[in-house]
Amino acid sequence: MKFSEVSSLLAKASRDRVLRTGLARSIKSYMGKRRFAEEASELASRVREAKEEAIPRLKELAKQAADSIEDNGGVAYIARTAEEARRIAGELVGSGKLVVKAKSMTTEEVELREHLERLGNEVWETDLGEFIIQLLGSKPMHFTSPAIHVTREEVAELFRRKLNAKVGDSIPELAKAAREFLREKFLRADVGVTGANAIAADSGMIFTLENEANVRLASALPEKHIVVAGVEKVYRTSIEAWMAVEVTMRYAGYKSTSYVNVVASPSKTGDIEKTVVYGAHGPRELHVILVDNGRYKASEDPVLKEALYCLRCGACQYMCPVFKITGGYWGGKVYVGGIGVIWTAITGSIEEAMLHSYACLLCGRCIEACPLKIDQPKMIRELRRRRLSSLKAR
Amino acid sequence: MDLSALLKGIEENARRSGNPLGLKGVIGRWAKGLDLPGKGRYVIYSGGLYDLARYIKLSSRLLGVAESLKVGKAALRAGRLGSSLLKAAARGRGLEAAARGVVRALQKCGVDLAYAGDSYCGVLYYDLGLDELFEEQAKATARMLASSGASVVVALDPHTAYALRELYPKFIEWSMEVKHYVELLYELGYSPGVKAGGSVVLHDACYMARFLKLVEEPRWLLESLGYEVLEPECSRELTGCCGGPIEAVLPGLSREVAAERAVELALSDSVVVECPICWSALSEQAGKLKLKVAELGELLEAGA
Repeated sequence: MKFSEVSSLLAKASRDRVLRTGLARSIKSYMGKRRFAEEASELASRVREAKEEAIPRLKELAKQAADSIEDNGGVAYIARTAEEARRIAGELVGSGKLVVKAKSMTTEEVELREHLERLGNEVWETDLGEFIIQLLGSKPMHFTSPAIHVTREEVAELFRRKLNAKVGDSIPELAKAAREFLREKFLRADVGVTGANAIAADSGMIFTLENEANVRLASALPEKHIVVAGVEKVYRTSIEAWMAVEVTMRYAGYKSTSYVNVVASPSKTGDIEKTVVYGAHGPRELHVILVDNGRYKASEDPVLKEALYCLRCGACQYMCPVFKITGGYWGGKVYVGGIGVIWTAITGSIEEAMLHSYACLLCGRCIEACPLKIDQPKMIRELRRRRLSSLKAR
Repeated sequence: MDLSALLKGIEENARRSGNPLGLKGVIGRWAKGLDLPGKGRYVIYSGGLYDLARYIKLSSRLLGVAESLKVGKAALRAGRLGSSLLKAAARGRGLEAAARGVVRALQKCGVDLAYAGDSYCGVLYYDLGLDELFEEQAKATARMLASSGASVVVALDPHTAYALRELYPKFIEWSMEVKHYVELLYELGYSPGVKAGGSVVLHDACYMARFLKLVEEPRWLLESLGYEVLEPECSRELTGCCGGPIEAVLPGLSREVAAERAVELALSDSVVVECPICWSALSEQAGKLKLKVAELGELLEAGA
């Protein structure tokens, strides 16, 4: 990969007026909700402390979380690579199945949807933003607002073209069209795949934030529920996990999200003769794939380990001056913005990350924006330094 | 842009003439005729940016043109500034007077100010990951400043103040106290000879507000100088970057960042910046919106 590819990608993005309009509207809206974040700043510093305790013990805590999940009647896996995560999920799904998926950056990272489709499954993203991204064949442009760059007019055109929906340009009409299309998929789905915002090692409880109820449906209606989450999402206790969830929603721009889902085991009932059977109204099986894919190594890296504190709230992206212009074109293949550059280094191509690192201003507004005050400029500079020293060593 | 050619060019320039632009005999020009003693308790140090500002402004414009024409290596040659371009840059407005304004204000407060020479502080090398170069520069700068016998270095811009205060101790033996001049004026209760009037929009420099935590002090200084300070959208710790830091590597993107920030600053036709990089990056874009950009030191020069 060459730097000229990165610079022309960014130049192309900065000339895209529709992208700029979409970004400007979303960023303005977020800035109006920044007070929700500020109200939670004290809680955020406690989550930082929890992360400082958890990350050095990542392997041990992931193992404990896996044990807790299995004690509860679920099945847990620790996947060392993206390929292994795909393989495990692929074997669980099989082929010829209908899969409904909730939004999850980790599934993007391991390219799960593409893999399940290749195995001959029908897979649908059910978060509206992610659904739009799927239909566009594009990349999520923000951690929590994947379709931040798409205007309503473009969505309407897309739905008319791809779904044969008879819709005008009004947003409620578009939301209704997606609901009608996906409702039937939820009801028929064999497998639901979701991510996680936090997992408690002590109880095995898995927390997921959302507004649309698609996580709720995808994790409750199908027979089989698969959770895919990075190992860094594991906290020592349920209380710490809850604190992280609250801070994530606050810094994402919500006083409260519509839903917080907590799953600890497959659906079960003991109502007949106190004999427990799995699969009451919800899934009979719960599978949790905890993904390493570079995270364990990063947890031992004196500089990059701080990136594992990231809650994926997207606050830094909303407040980054470069993101305001390039949107998600900056960061790498999967991850977005300055924090995306670092996550690309951890989970994807180090070379790609290093080249993208040069677009960072090192201005430090991300540190102010971040609930955990992650020092992205420090890590970005370190990537530049490592690139140069590896070039010299050649 | 050809990244490796750019980095190589910067390294060559640094080794040849001690600064990323490869200019000889430029840094320290601002202090000519000031007649400061070589020794004293406080030593003033510009770190190079006030003399380089006029050249940075011109070269980033040239790099921008070159980028849009997709000529990588040619851009570098342009970035090295030919002699006719050097003359053109020398004729335009620069920030040497701004640096002198700071000295006058400090002297007015009775600061025992020495000048031991000047150099580029090396911060861009650090930002680009050229650590060896940064360390060499830090050593040379430290030796030069030590010759003044001063215990306190007074830095003029936030990048230099940050580099000396936070980075030098990580790379070299360094025991000098570092003050940004605004901090010192605030502590000494500077009062200008002439009071201005009118309102100005303050653009907080990222390194000033977020890394040096100097937020109230520059506001106090502007008010002391007789200005009403207007706060743009995104100010103080949440200030927006001027785009300057990526002007060499990604000139087009840098200008877009500057243009976005200029729009936020358009609350009054006078914008005040606290850093030569902000001055260089914002002047062109703010000019398009008919805004005048002044560097804080320039106002001190006028107020002295």
